[in-house]
Amino acid sequence: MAGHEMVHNAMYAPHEYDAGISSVDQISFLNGEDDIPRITRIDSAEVVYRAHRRAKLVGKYLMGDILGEGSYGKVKEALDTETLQRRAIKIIKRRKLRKINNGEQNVKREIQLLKRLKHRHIIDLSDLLENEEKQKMYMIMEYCVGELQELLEAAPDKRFPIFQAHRYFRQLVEGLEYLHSQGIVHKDIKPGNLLLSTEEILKITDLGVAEAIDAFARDDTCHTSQGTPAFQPPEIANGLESFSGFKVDIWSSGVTLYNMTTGVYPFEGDNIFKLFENIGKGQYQIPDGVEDNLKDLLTGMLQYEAANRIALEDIKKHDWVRRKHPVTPGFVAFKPIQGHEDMLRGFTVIPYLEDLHFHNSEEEEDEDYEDHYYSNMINTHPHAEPAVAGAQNSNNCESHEAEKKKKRKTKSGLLSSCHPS
Amino acid sequence: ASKSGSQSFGSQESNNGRFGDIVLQPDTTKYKLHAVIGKGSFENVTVHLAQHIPSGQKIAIKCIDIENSPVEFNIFQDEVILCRQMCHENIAKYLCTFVNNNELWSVMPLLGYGSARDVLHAYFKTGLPETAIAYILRDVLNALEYLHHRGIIHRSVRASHILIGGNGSVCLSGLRKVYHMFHHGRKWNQVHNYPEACSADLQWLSPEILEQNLSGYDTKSDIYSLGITSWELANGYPPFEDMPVTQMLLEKVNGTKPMLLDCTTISDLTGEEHAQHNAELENGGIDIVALAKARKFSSHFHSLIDRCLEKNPKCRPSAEGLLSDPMFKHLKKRSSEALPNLLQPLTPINLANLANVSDDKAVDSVINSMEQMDVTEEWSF
Repeated sequence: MAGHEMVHNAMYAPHEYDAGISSVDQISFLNGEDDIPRITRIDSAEVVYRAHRRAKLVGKYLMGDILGEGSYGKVKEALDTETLQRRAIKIIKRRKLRKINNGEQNVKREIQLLKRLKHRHIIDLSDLLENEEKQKMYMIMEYCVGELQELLEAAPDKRFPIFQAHRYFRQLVEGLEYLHSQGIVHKDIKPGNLLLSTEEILKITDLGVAEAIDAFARDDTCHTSQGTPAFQPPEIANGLESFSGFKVDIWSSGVTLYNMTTGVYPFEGDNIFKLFENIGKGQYQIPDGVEDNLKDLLTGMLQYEAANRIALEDIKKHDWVRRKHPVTPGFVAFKPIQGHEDMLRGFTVIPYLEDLHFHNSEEEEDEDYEDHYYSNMINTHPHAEPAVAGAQNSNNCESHEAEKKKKRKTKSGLLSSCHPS
Repeated sequence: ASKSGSQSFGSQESNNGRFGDIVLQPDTTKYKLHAVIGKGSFENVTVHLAQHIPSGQKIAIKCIDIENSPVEFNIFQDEVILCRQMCHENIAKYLCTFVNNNELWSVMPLLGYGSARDVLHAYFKTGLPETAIAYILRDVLNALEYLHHRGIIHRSVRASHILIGGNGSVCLSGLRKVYHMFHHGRKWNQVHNYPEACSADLQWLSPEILEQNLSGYDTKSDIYSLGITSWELANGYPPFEDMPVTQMLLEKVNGTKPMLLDCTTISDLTGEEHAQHNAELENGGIDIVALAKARKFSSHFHSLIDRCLEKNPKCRPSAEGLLSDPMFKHLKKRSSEALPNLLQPLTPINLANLANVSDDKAVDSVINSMEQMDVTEEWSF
């Protein structure tokens, strides 16, 4: 039995340390979170807990494995037990939030914005739950396979073939156009904030530092920015008091496109001061081998003066954007998460589901089953009581997991008359 | 209902707005609604028996309250547009669609037996005879072949979406959940979209739709749903019905295959399951063992369900391939030649009878008498 558990440890533990910590470390200051560790290590107690993979329900959502770590808490995969739809849940710990600069304000703003946004290329917030007692908040969002950043890191030379970069860039422009039409400046566009769904649809996420322009404002003037340094335009690097918000997003998208197609950044620096100094000077090189068409677009997006920077509608009309790029070999696909064999990035909730249904009822109830969650919004499901009837209900027929030594009750097996194939 | 509140929906192609020689106008004053004969899977959808006043023709009208819709209006709109594009005798038709105040009205031919689910519920509680199932499946496969050929995945094939006309004609409805393999300017080999508001369809959905991983799914997922539907038609209820959906998911992901119960397979039950069965009998459950021992499905039917329910979509036959299955070999050319006889003693809402009934009360009394024996179950479109 002990050996059995160790296998699970070995299989699942590496995932905790995954998400490319080394490479992220190297560029952590580029991602602007040097004071807030992007990835925190999980202590061994947590790993052992997960080896048991006890089913845990938050409202009607069954929690799966960890997908990533943000500065405000974990993001976990989850399963909607009513519709069986895959979800991602951002878990926000209030206590942790208070210690972070602008933390509470940023989360509040993000929720307010996401609630009113609905677009193919903007991450969809479908539900919001709260546990007062634990001081936790759960943002239930559509499931995505991973970040563009992760895909880039898996790519040879850390860049995409042109047709692939083009595919993502077009979607980014569409999403950005919608955001701007809603009077919202994202302020933190970068590959790490662009997700891909299983359908390979790009989703702009993390509106924590976004700003909604007042509906009566004369223009898109902004005064603050908390975006990622390497993606910031000169006007911010130089500390200007006010600047055009929309043009900030154009610049950051330009850096993103530059990064996706070349594998490097237009501006670098050993620390944030050097970096801002370089951006402030506005001198950068476009590597050899970048075709003129793309060079022209990049130059337009990375114009030093915001007023000269190409507008979104002109980006859409730009030849490089409108052109169809030939599909070349070297398409970068998601690799299986380390420790999982699954090339297809399937459910991580399966072991938890097995626990839910084949759970040994003689064991003591986990206190988590008793938790109460309060749903705050959103459109579809006003009630978020634990939805799975009979967590103790057991299976109807022998499944492949027969090696599990848990005792199973069989109930009304005749009615379903199933057999394993 | 005022005429001014009505507006035509879509263009009037030659095919639409006609029912035989009768011209159906997009005008509410031309129709008289009678009893409700069905409810949709959403609360805001009701199906009425109705009369086209100028011709006296009995028809069915689906009324959708747009303002109190749990889902977005474009879902209904897309369904209407798609139904108008489809032209196949085994796919449900909207003869005429228009907006009346806050309601979307779709005029449809009256299909006297209601859905296959109604037929099961009304009389065949433990399943239909195999020959009747064969006719129904063949016609549904014809519809699926037509849809799949056009790159359309139906995504909610189930008994309640199979409608049977009073003359025994069979057609597939429920086109609201379809997904196109052609979109964004190209044909996709695999799609990944998870159907919206699909809670009611979960039991019929294929493992690959439910898994929502990078492999996606294609038209073969309809074949899986057809397998589940075949099982449903043979037993009177769908498999996995007695468990939470989360457990059903686990069973499907683990490759569990529902198996037809008859005298050839009943011995496969384990001792434990027998004990369970006896306990259920004491509680007044249906004696499934006795039932199974008394019936025998053909080996063709067993094999068909087995192949449709393969976990690997590539191992499932296509709709086209299934149409040449031996199960359908000795059927008459048209289902209407055989199906009404096979559905006896059930009788459809009878057009001939209704034509003689002119006043409302009489119509309603006919409907009422039929409601008692028949369409109480949701008539799910």
